[in-house]
Amino acid sequence: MIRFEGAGRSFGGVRAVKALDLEIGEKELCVLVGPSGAGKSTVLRMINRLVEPSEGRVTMDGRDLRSIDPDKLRRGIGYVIQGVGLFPHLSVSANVSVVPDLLGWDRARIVRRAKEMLELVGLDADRYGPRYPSQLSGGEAQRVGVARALASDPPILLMDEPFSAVDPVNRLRLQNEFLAIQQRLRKTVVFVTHDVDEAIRLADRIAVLRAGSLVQYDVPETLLDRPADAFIAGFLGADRALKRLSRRPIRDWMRPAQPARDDDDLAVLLCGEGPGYWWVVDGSGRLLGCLDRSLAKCSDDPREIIASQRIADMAVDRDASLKDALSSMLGSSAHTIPVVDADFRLVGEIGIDDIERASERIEEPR
Amino acid sequence: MTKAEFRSWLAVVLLLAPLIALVSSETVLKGLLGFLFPGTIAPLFPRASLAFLVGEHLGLVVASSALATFVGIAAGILATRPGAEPFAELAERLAAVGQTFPPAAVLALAVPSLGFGFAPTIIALFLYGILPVLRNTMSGISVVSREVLDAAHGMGMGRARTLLKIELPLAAPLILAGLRSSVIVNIGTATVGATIGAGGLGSPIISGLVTQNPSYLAEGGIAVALLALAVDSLFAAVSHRLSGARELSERSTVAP
Repeated sequence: MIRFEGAGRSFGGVRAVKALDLEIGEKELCVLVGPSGAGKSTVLRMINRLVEPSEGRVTMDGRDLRSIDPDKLRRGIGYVIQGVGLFPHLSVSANVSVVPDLLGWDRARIVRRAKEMLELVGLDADRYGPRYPSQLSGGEAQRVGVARALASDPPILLMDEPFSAVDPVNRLRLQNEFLAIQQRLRKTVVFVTHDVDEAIRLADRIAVLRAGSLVQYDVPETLLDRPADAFIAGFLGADRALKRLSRRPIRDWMRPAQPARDDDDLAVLLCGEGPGYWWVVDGSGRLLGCLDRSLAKCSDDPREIIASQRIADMAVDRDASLKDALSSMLGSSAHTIPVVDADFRLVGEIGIDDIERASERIEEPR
Repeated sequence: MTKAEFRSWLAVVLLLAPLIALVSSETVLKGLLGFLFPGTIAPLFPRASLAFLVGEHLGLVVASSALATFVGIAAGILATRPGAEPFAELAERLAAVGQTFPPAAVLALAVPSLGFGFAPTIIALFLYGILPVLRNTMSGISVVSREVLDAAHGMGMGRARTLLKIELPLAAPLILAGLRSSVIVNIGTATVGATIGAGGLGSPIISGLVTQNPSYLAEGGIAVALLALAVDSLFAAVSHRLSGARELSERSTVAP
């Protein structure tokens, strides 16, 4: 556990961080967010002693950081920065091997580990290992940066705006990949960003900083539901209600769906009595399409209707958020949409009323 | 080996071959000078063989350049340490003064304290050669990006390791370029040493000027020119090799 106890830092008389009290729990992903100049990076850099507090102290598992040799401390803390900072004269695998090398691991173990790390971040080790940083795209370089930081399997990972120099599409991908990695490895992560959406997407807990002070420290849901003051509400943005939806996973709100098998008599389903729509699945439960009686005539060929539909456009993944579900609904102008797993097997359905149920009234700060 | 590197090695061979021929065979040397200046009775510089002169000359250059390289790189490293900014300016200014002084003036000033011969010449060449090495070491190290240094420190590399594993390797091409111009200039400038008895290829040149014997002049001049060009090509080959190693591996992995 990392603890700031009245830790502050002044640069030439300016207090960049003011007597901060903050506790970062083990295996938690804590995001420090705030406008530029709020002192986020300074707080982060106090953890690996690249910045020393000028007042108070920072402890790790109860030990004052000042009692730990800075180089030893840093070798036990992964560090990812915005500009990546890959060493241009070293190959990708040599970059990833830097900390294991410093720790004196034997050669075979280092080579194995570098490979493993590259695969972990989704890069083919044989293809990318021998390359040089100048041959990587921004997203690839950032992945290598993450691989390098994780190479010695440090319990703590510090990330200073790691994805902000990447284009929005790649950023989203990197964020999701990183979340998946974090779910597997469960590191204590301290993540700095000025992007509220990124904070909400990633954080277990968000610390909002303003002018060197901590103004609110909460789980994202609470932060969105009950921002402490007007500044935080404003910083979170006018679309707070939507952002809250983005923290609610579909799987928690979906309802069971009743599927029709494609070897059933679909024409009867289309013309007979019963529900207004059917999700049609194949023998292994994979979604094939939807028969909506309000949109089709009795004389239509049900198989033709199904064949003309694009599943990817109408279904949502169960791991996606309610915000994604809402967006899908608006896009396909359907009140109810099917929920599928990664193999496109039907696992449920979700409707606009479920989303309404999920988004209780948001309290406005007084 | 890249094309550029190959060309540089070829140039080294093509320049060294005639120099070796002239140095090793008096007949060839005599033939060349006789062809250039027909009618000269004694075309060869009588006091020392060309081989001896080349050896003396290289001794002057190697000693002074080694000193300049060592001091230049060391001062460049010190001047780029955090907190050494005032020293950086001072070091560069001193080195610039060293290069502004004409070597002949340095020699004249050095003789009263160090006497005639090798020592004052080496001091003069050292002062003259230090600036390119120092300046390139400083700029080579200071262009290493802040992110790279931040990453190195943040990963627990420590100062000494960061210098040896990150800063110096990244600065190496520029340092080598500084070394190259320092050595090449010194090969030419070392001829001045002959005026105070340091020997070298300046001896036949000075002697040729005094006795108005163009054949002596040519003997020293041609040898110095070939030596400078060959060493320059040698540096080019080495620097191509340094940068080529990386380019080559880049090309082989980029290709589909």
